[in-house]
Parts: sequence; structure tokens; C-alpha cells
Amino acid sequence: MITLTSSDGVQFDVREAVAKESQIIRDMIQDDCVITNIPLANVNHKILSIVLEYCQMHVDKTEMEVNASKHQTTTGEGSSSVPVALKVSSNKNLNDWDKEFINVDLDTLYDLILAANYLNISGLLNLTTQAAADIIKGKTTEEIRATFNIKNDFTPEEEAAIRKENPWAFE
Amino acid sequence: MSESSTSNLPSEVIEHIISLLTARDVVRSSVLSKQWKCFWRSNMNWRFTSSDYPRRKPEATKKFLEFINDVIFFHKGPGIQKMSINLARHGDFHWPAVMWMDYLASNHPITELDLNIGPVVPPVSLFSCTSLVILRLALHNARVKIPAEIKLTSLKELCLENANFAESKDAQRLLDGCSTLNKLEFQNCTGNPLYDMDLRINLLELRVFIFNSSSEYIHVHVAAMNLEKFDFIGRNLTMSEGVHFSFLKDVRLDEFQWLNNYRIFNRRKPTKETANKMLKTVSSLKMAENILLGEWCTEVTRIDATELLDGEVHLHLNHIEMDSFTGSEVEMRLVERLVGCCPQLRRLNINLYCKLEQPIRRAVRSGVRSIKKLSPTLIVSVRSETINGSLKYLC
Repeated sequence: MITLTSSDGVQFDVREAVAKESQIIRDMIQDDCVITNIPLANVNHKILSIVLEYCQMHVDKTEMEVNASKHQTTTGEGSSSVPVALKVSSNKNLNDWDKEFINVDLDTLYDLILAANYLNISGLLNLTTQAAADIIKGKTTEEIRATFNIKNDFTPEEEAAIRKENPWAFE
Repeated sequence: MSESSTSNLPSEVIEHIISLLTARDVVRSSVLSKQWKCFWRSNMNWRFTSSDYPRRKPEATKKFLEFINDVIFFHKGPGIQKMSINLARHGDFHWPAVMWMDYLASNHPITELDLNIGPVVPPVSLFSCTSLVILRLALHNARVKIPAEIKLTSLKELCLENANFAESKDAQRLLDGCSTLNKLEFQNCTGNPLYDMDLRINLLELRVFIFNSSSEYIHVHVAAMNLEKFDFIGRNLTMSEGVHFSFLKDVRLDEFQWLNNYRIFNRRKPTKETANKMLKTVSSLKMAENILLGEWCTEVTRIDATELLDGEVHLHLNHIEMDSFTGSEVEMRLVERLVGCCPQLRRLNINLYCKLEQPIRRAVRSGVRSIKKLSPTLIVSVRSETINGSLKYLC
């Protein structure tokens, strides 16, 4: 077990495998194998609990698949079709789960992106940045600015010049 | 949203988000703010879709092509890794496209290239691009010339669509130079109709092979022992006899549909020879689990069916699907034989040819009922595709 402490002082006890979904924690454990308490200065308890929910789910699913394939090798070739079907359905379930998981408000999404980037959890970073990209997709620049609260620091002339360079993208 | 905003996102995260957008959205993102403007020139993944192309405005069209030039020739970052351009049907881009390909292959760490730009002859440099992992080219019948030396040493996935191999040995030379392939797709590729073209597929790492061609002069010999999935739509197929194909689970053996399309494409009727080859393939696939059989079944001779699927053949199939079924006597006998050879068969789907007359439909149904009696646990469904493409279950 490893204890992770959020920036606002809440402690989470998690299995090592779950914590190791984060590259940065994996590196810490590798460098210092007796480490049991890791303070995370950039993640508050609300976001950390969501992040850990993601890690827990993905670790569980991976372990289930490994067990299923072990089961397959011990029971011989006759039953090979069952674990394969299981694997396919668990992959599908995990994608569905991810989709449901990422259905959060913009503030949370934003914090999750930062946490995934800070903790270096590649699966979560891909999932969250893809969600942000999906939000941008097909929106006008004004809509994107409003959605993500981006301050326009161009002068109107500068902006018009960029638009004129690539008219095909602003039709 | 509260005071937090994406302008506080670290630049590597913004870069990541931009790399997931299509070209149009990347350009739009460049006017969001000065911070966002910095990123597009170093973007590593580009996707130009057909809908980005400004068809009716010549001035915008020119700017669009200039923009692709800018992206490829004046990139300011670690290099482009993924490039996908789809401009098919929008005009002739042969020369710019050749230059784009040449520059991407020679000056960028490109790993994925997916181009559909009309009839374009790929430059020689493309075939010695050692960083490429995925290469998908739709060539619109351009005559491909394969150089003597091929160095696609990292290539895992190759898909060629409508490539015309001018020299009959070119396609083989290309394959021999891609020894690391996991997935190979040949879609409607042609050769020189004056010569037969032999394709020997013996790539050791090949897992998926999809071949689809109406050319009668392309002979496909499959010996890739680690194949897992094999889709074949064509005429001349042989599976290497000394190879067991122990991982091959999913198979499709089909032809260009003659029944539904002959008036439009002037397709030739399936031949007895093809049917014999296909049936031989079926009986040699001992480990396959799912199989789809096409129209050639109508041409299987009674003698072949008896010889190749005799009482001693045991197949692992648990799912058989038959397409364009016409209810002929040979087909019914073939189904019976197949069911007899496959003790593990759990599912049989029969898709009837849509213009089948009512008495034949009835005969098929009653034939199926008698098969069900013989093996009661088998799940059989007979369905018919209607003219508008929807499926109707008959039993």
C-alpha cells in the first residue's frame, strides 16, 4: 500500500499497482523502494479521487485480462473461444466506461488534464486532451474562446490578417 | 468556467490538443490568442480532409495548397510524424503531391502517411523511408514504379488502393522489401493485363491480409504462417500446402459479386475452377473459427464437394456465413457437408440472393429445417437482403 497526500492534505491509501499508473510515481518508487508516503503538491483531493478512480479501473481491467489468459492456458485449447470473447467485451466495456468517466464539466476536465500531465498518466492524458479536442471540433473561434475562457490578445487588424491568410479555414 | 482557463495550460498540453485536431481546426485555433498562434508551425500531426478543400473559390484554393506547402516545407518543430491528406475528386495535384511525399519521406520523422490525392506516382524516396510504420495510399490507377531497392524497415501496415503495377514483378518486389508487415491490404490493385501476376504472401509477421481485386490475372499464393485474419475477394487463390495456419481464425472467401452487379460492371460469372480452389482452401483451414463464403458456392461441383469434404475432414469452424445464396442443389449439399465436417459448429447464417423467387426461398427454408434436425444445437438463420439493402429474417 502507498499513501498519496493531496495538496489540501487528504490522504489516499492505494495499491502500489494503482499508484504506478502514474509515470512520475513509478519513477519515485523505482528510485526509492521503501517510499510509502508521496505528497502531491499540485493535485487537490477532489481531482485526486477522480484520477485514482480512473487508475483503479484500468488496473483492475488489465489484471482481469491477464487472469483470463492464464485461465486459457491452463484449461487447454478446447475453451479458447471463451477468454477471447471476454477480452473483446472487456475492451469494449472499458471504452464505454472511459466515455462515461470523461463526461464531466469543463472545470473538472481542465483540472484533470493538468493532473494527468503532472502525474504523467498517458492514458488519462490522451483521454482528457481528446475530450478537449472534441469540444473544439467544428466550433468557431468565438465559441472556442468563450468555452475555454481564452482572452483574445490580438488587435482586430492582426486577427483579420491571420484570417485572410487562410480563408478556407474560416468559411 | 471560473478564473481557470486553457490559456494557463502548459504548452506541451496545448500542443497535444492541437495534434488531435483536423487542419481546419488547427488553423482556427491559431487566431484564439497569441499563445495559441505559436503552435501550428510545430504541429506534428496533420489531417487535411476532403471537406477542408474550398471547391468553388479559386483564390481560397490557391491559399489552401500554399498552406499545405507551408506545413510541409516550413515546419518549425521536431518534425511531422503523421500526415493524412484526402483531396480525391478535387482535381489534379500530381506535382505538388509528389513533392509533398518526397519531402515528408526525406526530411520528416514521418511514421504515418495516409494519402488520397488522385492519380499520383509515389516518388522513389518514399520506398526508402525507414521511419514509416503505417502507409496508406489510394492511387486512382496511377502506374506505380517500384525501385530496385526498398528500405521500409519499420513498416507494419501497408494499404494500397487502386495501384496499377506496371511491371508484373513490382508488387512482389515491394512485398519482399517489407518484411516487418503486420497488416497488408490490396484494394482493387491491378497489373498489366497482358501478363499473369503472381503474388506470394510469405511474410512471417503478417497477421492480417486483405485482398480485393476483380483482376483475373492476379494469382495469390498465401504462405504467411502467422496469419490471424484473411479476407479474400478475387479469383485465383492457393494456400500453401505445407503450412498449417494455426492462428488463422477469421476467413472470408468471396468473389466480386456477379449476381447483383453483372449488368453494371460486366463481371464474369464465377467459374468451376475458382469454386474448386476456394473449396480446397476451406478444407485446408483446419483451425479457422469464423468463415464467410461467397457466390462461388453456386459453382461447386458435386464431385469436388464429396472429395474435399469427405467424412474424414474435421474443421474447427464455429460460425459459417454464406453470402448470395441461390438455393441450388449443390449449395444445399455443400451446407450439409460443411455441417457434417464441423462438430463445433454453433452458428450458420445464410444470406439469400435478393431476387430469389418465392418457391426457392421456401425450398431453402425446408432444407435448413432438415439440417437443424440433424444437428439440433446449431443456430441457423436465413435472411434476405432486400433491394434497398435492409435485412429481412426468414427463419
